[in-house]
Amino acid sequence: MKAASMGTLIPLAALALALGCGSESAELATGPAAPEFQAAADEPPRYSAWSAPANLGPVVNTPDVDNDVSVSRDGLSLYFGSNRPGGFGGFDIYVARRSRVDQPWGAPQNLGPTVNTAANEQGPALTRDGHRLFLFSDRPGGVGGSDLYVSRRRGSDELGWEAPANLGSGVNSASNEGLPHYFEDPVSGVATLYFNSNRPGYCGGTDIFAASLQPDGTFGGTVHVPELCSPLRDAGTAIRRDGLEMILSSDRAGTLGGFDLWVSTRASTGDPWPRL
Amino acid sequence: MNLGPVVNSALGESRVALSHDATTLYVINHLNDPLRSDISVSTRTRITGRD
Repeated sequence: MKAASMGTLIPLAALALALGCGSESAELATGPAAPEFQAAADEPPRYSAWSAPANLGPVVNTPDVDNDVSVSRDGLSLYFGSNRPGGFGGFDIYVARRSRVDQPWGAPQNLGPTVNTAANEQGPALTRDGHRLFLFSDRPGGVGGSDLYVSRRRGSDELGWEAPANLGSGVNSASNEGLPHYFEDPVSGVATLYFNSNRPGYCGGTDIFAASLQPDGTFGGTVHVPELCSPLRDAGTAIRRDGLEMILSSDRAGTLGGFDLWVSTRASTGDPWPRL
Repeated sequence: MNLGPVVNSALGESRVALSHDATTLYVINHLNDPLRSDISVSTRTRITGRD
């Protein structure tokens, strides 16, 4: 953990240098406009080390597979996938609620047959506004294998999601796509959908890809993210909302066993992710 | 870089989600059994910088 913490400081130091230069330039151009205050306001957050994971317990977890979480912006809704008994078949998407962030989670509810089918539905990923839910499913009628879908809702009803729509061939392929993660760049406003796929011709196993929101509202322009790839399985991503930290799951060389979590930090959302 | 042995274990951890304030990490623990995994939470404290 100590090595990890020290490594994380390197990009932070680089950012401090970059901010310093930027402030100086701004001061030259516009006069003494409180550059110290600006630098402090733009300073990226620093955190303590992560605690050991604590199991959410039997209200949420079952003896089956419970996985693929996404939490709402207010921290009060937890979406996840599970193959527990009592669903519509295979994996279904469930949501648990709590009244406050310091309260325990209530019993999960199945999102119901509008979202879930006899096939597998997994990998829920909420947008920040809570009006879209990305997921993946191997239901019939897709482009091939598991595909990415998006469901929408107008209000905040946890069970009010509309039927998921396939994201189409700008994102999906004849291979599998899964584990979507939606990221809105707070600097550029660009919306990116990260996901993994085992489509052939890249680093191997599953790799991370990124699709961007097109002017017509669809996702497309899918690109491979080479700096995150390994010959093994690179899977789920989670990106801090400022876009400067990504946590990736991968069973690449150096893992402590099976999948491990890896972190990549960068100084600007305009930079590629540093190689893990 | 690897998140290290406080969060990672030989059993397998994957498929994470971050809370909006990035101080809670939802982790899937694989429990060394392909027919079983659970959701766990790891937390951290913001030391400096904006929220």
